[in-house]
Amino acid sequence: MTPTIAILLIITFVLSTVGLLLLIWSIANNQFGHGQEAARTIFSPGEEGHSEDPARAVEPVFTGDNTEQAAAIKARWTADQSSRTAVLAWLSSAVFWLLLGSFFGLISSLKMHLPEFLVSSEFLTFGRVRPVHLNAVTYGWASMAGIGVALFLIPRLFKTSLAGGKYAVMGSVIWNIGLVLGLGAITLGMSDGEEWLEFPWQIDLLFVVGGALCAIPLLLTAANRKVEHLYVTSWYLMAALVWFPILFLVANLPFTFPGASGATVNWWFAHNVLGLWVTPIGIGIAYYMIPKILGRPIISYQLSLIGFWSLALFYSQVGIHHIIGGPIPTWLVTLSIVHSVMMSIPVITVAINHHGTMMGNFSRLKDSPTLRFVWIGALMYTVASLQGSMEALRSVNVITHFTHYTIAHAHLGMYAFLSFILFGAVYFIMPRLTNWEWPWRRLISLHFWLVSVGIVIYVVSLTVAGWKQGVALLDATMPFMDIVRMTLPALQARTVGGALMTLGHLVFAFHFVAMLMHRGAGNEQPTLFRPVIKEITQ
Amino acid sequence: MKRALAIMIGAALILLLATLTLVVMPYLQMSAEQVPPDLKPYTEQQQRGRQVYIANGCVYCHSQQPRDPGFAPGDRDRGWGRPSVPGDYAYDQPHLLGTMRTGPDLFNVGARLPSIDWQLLHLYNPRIVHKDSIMPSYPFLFRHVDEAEEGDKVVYLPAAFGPESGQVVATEDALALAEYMLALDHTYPAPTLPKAEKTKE
Amino acid sequence: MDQHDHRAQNREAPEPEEGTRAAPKIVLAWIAILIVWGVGYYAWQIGKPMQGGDSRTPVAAIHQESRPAESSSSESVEASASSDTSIEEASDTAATSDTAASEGSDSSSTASAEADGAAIFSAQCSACHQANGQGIPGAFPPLAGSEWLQADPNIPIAIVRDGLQGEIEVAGNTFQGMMPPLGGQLSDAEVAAVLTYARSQWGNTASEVSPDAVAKHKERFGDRGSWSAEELTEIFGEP
Repeated sequence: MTPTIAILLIITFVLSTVGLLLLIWSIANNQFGHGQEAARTIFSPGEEGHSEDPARAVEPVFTGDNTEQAAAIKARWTADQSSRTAVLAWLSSAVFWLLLGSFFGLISSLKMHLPEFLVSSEFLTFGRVRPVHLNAVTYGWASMAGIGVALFLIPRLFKTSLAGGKYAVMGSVIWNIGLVLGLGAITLGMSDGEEWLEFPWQIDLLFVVGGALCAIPLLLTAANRKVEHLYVTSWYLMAALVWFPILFLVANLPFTFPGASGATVNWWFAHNVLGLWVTPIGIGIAYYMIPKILGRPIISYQLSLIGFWSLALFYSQVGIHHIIGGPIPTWLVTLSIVHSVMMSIPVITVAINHHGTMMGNFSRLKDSPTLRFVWIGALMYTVASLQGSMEALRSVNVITHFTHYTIAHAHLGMYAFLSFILFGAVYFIMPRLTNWEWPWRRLISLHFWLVSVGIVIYVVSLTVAGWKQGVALLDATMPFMDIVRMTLPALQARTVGGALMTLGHLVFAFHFVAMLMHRGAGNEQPTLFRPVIKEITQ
Repeated sequence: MKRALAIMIGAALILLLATLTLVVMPYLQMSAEQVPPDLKPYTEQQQRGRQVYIANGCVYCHSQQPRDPGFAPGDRDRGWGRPSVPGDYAYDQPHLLGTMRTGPDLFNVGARLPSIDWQLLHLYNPRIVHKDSIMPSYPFLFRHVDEAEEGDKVVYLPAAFGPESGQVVATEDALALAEYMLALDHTYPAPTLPKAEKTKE
Repeated sequence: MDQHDHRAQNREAPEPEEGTRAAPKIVLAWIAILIVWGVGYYAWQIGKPMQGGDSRTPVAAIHQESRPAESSSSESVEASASSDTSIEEASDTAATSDTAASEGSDSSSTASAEADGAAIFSAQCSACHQANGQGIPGAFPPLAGSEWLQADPNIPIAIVRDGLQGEIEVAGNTFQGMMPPLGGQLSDAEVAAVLTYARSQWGNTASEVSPDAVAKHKERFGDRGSWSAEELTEIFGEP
């Protein structure tokens, strides 16, 4: 690139980065001025916390004497009641799409090493079932579960009832219709042709409407809020809800971006679905659940600020790392690589916050399903993101691009990070909405082990095979068919991993329905991994 | 509310910056970049074939963007052609750059495999040509008839892969897709590829 | 309030809050390091082209390691440094006649440089005729034991340069279909090399083919459409 362009890029880079740090510094200082008071308004005065400790015999904490504590509990309960129907609508839909998406994923995986499997029907050809899988798990499972959890958390965070919950319910209906039509269209061979954007744009309108129907109640609730201080989770959720509609709208505009520039829009969108939609939701949930279960605060407000704003600034510009080496201007690829490496900043700050808060409390992973799923998810966020920063470097990318390695990385992020956190959130939320405890401890355990073993097999096999594939692609002395043969065992392993994950989802879904229907013995105790009777020394 | 609004506006502005750098500027630059004069628009048949390619998700296994030999030598050495330039995709709506190479890059497949008979045979069942291929078969793009009629494009199959009786004939979609494959020939020169300095030794 | 209704809410810790720990110095140091790195990485990219795609290296540099010279392109190797158009022609040839990497593609500037018949076969012919020369039964004729390949060199030269259409009997089996012409993609030396290769592989025992023979064929017939089996037999005799 010309020196002029380089200087322009450098100036923008330095200005934006330094400017951000200054902004954060001023917010942090301002906040500390009112620090103590702001902190006090987060929780009602006199609120005492105790984490969900299996050793404690459960006595009613509410004695009727402590009116402040009662107020706190009532505030939670009111928030939960206000969002109940909407949250259940979105979560239940999400679980359904998880099942459907998993099955299509499994079918796709089988086809890659059994190419004659289900081959006679055009509706089940690989090139259609694969995008059905991707869109079902992204816009079905991940997005709907994310919105559902957001609908639960925002009233909690703002100690305000959800305004307009019925619009959110309507939104879920329209969104579901959009999914049925969109996935049906792909199956029938009608695709808009770009990855992550396959739904015909006419059907995309349904998602715009459905999404707007929940964004508005959430924003109204935020406007009505009764708390001064905005806890970090709310920043991530609000930002995500602002970002996704903009991304979705611009990227799906028909006929606007032909040719190679269409590719930059495509990957600006697709990576921002990850970086500015599902990642903020996942991180925000972890920021809520980890301190909630532990009964301890997140260690650093300053780090929260740095983590959030640097994520916004850097993650939004990494998308072009998907087309390194392609027919795209070098300066743009370089920009995305620089920002991909800068991503290590928000990742490290969030990691210090999440994992630092966990320090000294790792034993809680043995009992709390929510904490186990959420914290492992948060750890996988750290891992997947640092991997991503490295993958964006040209010297690494020249090997990993176009290979199964990127698929493994994608599942490390979307599944081991995001889906695990969503599982944890569902385990937390459902008792509060159904006034019931999860019926069978063993099913939670079974779910956990199936999906954990499954994803480990999946990621390890495809990472190794993908790397070897990439090295071989660079050396033309290895014939292409030899490369295909070399990856076959990993493709078979992926089917095994995926099958375990799918089984785990069946267990999860079954348990979820049982929860809705109040099946099981009806415990008074929370359903934890370790039974309540065990003696623990405090 | 002010602080919440500040966060949302701040977030939107940052995305706007990213949109400027990743969407607007590249669009302006790449639409202004010269389209190679030898690149022809797709014929109607080829465009139809392109739609078949999209409908059946070929992009999920095949890329169409050879990299520079100075960066990734394997691409050219495998015969996939010169590195592509933005102008090569001027008539591509949507782009089909692809991000996976489960199968080979197809940017110049029309130059490498110019035989329509090969394309149709391979499409019918890739394992006829490469026994370990993991590419799916596309029997639904073909018709099984007792006897081919005038104008039908017959696909001649080895006995092991063909029907017991009758013949296999390509549908319009199959023919169009094969024509699209043959159209993927970007071996003409690209004027916007950088030229070396004229050092005379 | 019925406490059972609030059972879950009862047992919760209070709503989360942020602690007041300052950002560790090491984080701030890392940020500073990365800003410096970022500036350096941008600066390092100065000089890379603005157009043509990502990380494109100058065309003439690629041409140094490119395809073997045959008489026409070896001239353009020398001419390339002084003329833009011949760079493009040369790179055009380079791209179209690319084969799998092989030592044969080291550019020796001698006009009679070896074209690698085996490499050309692998890149251009093996897809249909298969690496073992057996072809695909019913679809593509074998080359192993093919009377047409091993006949008067003019016959295979004609087929490869101009293509073949219609019914043909090869080694006792009948084939229909169309072989596309490759004369536009292969130079005389390349046609000669790949035919020489195929005529001596898989048990075939026919003579070499020289680039001159190919040149003579070109002079005699120029650019024409594909042959049929009858035409070939008529003009060149039975294979």
